[in-house]
Amino acid sequence: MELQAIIMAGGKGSHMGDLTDNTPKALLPVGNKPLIWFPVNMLEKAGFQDVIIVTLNSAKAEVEHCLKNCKIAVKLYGIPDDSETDTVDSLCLIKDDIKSDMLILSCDVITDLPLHKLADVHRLHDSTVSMLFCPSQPLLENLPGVKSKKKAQQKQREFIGMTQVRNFHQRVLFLLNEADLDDELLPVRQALMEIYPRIQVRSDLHDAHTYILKHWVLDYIKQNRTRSSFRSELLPYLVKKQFSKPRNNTAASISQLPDNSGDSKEEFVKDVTSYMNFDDDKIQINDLTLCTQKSQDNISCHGLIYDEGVCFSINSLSSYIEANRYMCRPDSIFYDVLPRVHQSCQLAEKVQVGTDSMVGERTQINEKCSIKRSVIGKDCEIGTLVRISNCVVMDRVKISDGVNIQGCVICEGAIIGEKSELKDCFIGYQKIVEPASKLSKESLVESSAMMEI
Amino acid sequence: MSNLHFKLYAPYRNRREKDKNAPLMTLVLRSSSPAHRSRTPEDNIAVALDLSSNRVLHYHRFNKASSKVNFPLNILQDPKSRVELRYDLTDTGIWVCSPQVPQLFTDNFDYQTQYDLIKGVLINEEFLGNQIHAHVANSRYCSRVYNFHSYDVVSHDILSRWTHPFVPEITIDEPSFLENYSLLRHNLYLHNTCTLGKNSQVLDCSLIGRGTKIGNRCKITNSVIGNGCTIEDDCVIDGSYIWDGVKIGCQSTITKSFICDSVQVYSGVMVNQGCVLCDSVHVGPKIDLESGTVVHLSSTTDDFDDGEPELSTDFYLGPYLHVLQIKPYDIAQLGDQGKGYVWEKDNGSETGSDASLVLQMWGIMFIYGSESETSSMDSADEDEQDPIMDDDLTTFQREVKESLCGGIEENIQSDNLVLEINSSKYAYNMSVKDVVQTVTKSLLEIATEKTANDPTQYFTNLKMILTHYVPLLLNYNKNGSSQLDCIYSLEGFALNSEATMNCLVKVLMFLYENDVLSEEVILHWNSNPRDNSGTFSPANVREKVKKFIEWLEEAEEEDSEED
Repeated sequence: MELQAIIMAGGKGSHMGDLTDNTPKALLPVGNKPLIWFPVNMLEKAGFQDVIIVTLNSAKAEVEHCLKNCKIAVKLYGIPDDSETDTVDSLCLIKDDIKSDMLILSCDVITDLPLHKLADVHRLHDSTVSMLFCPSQPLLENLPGVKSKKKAQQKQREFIGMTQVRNFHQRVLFLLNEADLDDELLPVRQALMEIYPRIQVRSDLHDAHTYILKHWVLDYIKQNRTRSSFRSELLPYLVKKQFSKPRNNTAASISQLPDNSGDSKEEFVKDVTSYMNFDDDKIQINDLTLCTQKSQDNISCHGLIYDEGVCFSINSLSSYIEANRYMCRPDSIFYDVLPRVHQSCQLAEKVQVGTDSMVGERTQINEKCSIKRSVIGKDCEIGTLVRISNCVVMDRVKISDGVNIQGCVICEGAIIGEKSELKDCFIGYQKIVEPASKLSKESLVESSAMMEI
Repeated sequence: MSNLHFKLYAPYRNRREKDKNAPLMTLVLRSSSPAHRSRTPEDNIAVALDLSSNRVLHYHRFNKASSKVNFPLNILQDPKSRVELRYDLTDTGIWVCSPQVPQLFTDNFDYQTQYDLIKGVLINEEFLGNQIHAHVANSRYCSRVYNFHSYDVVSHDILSRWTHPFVPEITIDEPSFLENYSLLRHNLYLHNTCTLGKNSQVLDCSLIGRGTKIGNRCKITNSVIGNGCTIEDDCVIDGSYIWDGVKIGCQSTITKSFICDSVQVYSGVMVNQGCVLCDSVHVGPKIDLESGTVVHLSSTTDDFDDGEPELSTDFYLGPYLHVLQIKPYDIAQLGDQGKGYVWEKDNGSETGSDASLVLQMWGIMFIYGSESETSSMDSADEDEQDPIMDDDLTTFQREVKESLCGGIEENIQSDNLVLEINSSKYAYNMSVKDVVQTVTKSLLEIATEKTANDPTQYFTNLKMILTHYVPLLLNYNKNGSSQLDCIYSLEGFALNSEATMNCLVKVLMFLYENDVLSEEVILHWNSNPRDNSGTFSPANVREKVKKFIEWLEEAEEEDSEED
């Protein structure tokens, strides 16, 4: 087996605000499917036989339940909910199950990328890390529950320096966060420019949290536990280490150390590059070919920019709504896969459900309702004369008669009272909206969970 | 030296037609990889280009090797534009400018060079709306000659016919040009009137001019020999440029050197790598010229204007010509029949080191090895120092020192000097601390330089200088922290200068008496030694000033008793 697929679904969704107060991120419904279904589906399509999923202990059972219909063999690992177990720690947890290079996906990626494209980059350049970049989506201007446009905070920009190698793939030269830069200056080393004199700086891309990682990196992180986040610590470290010289003196310095210094010292001395294992065959092949390039003896990070298809990273309320709207669209790649109106729904007479809407299982919709450009979850009850447009309604929501809602996100178990009119609102988990209330751009959530989105 | 097609005017004109004012000029840049031999560390530029419009967003010119280039973030403001940072470009010195450009130079009197203009325009782009575009030439030849190295490279390229149609056999000064030179294999150009002796070899990329006579058994490689030269038997000439009318005696060897018009090299002379023999110099016989020697011949009546215009300013020799006095030729170095002076490298001053850099570069290939790059990458990790800031500081220090030096010579009022220093301070954005330190250091340096021959006179001189500048010092040392800066930089200087160390007590006393330094500051300084690495330990300094401190402390006690 060439690649071991791993899905990181242990995130609590800390950037998603109230959406994830009561639902783990992996189970948030998008187009009436839990988020985790999308990466699993992608792996299935790419022909993977099995997948390891790391998720929160509390969500384990539910994840297992919702993936029971998948053909792929799922191996679940739970991590404690309250602990600070980050992605790298999770990798350490499952290290014994990994025998090959890893394909690491985040549970929040929805894309139609044929995975072999990324694998091609990895194979062709023999790179340490191959990563996927997608064009960033602009933030929605009108977010439910957010009062002023000003509040939609400016996202921290990230500058990705890359250069073309062999005319079509990108080598990642630096990843810099705007916040880490002093004085509004972007420093670029002259020595780097000497090797790669043409560097494109992109700030219009985001990392789609899809990586292919060499197996030896696992050996490294097993020993060096200082970096706990893959995305924000390990990856920038690897990118930076690409151009530093392997320290060959490590072996010598270890032997010089007195024995009593113990193992800890040895780990400290070992450089990241010393973990790289060299394939003798590969070196020999390289020597035999006419290839002028020296055999890859250093860390290298390559990227693939996927801009011709769909790629969502569900990491904010804005992208969550975008993804839901996309699922409803007739040109969606999942149009045939996801049911529009489930067969088990009970639709009364004179109900209009647009072709651009979805209705989940066992939902009852009463007379004279109109539903446009919306996703309605499972087991909902919708009264008579209800108008819903541009909304995301999750499971088990009760909407009473004569309600008019536009552009809202309504979380699981909420109850909307009669004749209410809601516009651009965010209704939290199990909240109750009083009858005949008129709300605009309000956010109804637990007071303790008042967080900025 | 260029054979570019001048079609680049068209895109410029199109841009001008679309928008009357914004596109100010178009720079013509030639792409050449960083390891290209025509590049020298003197002329490296890093440019940020907008890929769609070819607009120049940032233009950084390296004046020396620095580890990092800082690109301002505002060039990346627009997420839609694709920005590319390019280091594989060289400035061809060809610029298509709009009529506003001369106007801009008039309006902004601080624009000294075209690079100031580019910098200024790019910084003020938002306010003034002027834009600079780039035209990247990917084919054909274009290169500038601005130092010995590039002279060598361009000349070699001409001989290798990269610059076609500008090749040696096409000469304008001779009527029937095509017939005069015979072009042989391996880029050899021999003029029909030149004569070659028996067993003489001319190899690889060489040119021999009109009427030049070459003796027997000579070997000439990679060299250009001008018109009317005479080269006697058994000479070896490699990688050199010999101008017109040069006479070279037998058994001489000339390696990678530069020999101007009418020079006479007697027999048995060895001219090593990187020598420059200026007009009409005589060298030899039987002498070795050290690598990098510059020999010139200029009478005292010749000043800047006469002499050798080709060599003077272009090759950084100009400023040194006026130093010459009537003196006997340097026969010891140039041989018994030598005529000329060896130009002494003045390592102390700024331009001197520049010139020596140029000379070092002459004939040396720049090697770009992956080894050195990666190691420099590593070291850059730790290198937190900002090279640009550093540069500013040194220029500032130099300017302050020059001002102070001139102030003593011309007896300028301290007030005016304060104004001058303050303007420098703002120009280089220096802090008050920097100013105080620089002023103190400069004064001490001036005194040291004045009494370089006679250290015993050091304090007398220093005292004279300090007396002259008491009002200036008072102006800068108004508060305690400035005074502390002053005294610490005084200490720092003394740590490296014995003369200053010996009279440190006197200096402190002088400054104390003139109220430049207060009692508290001196006592505070004495009790808080700062770790300065120098030839003397800080403790040593305290020892030197012990008596003075004791005296001060006593005086203070007396003061308090009186109270």
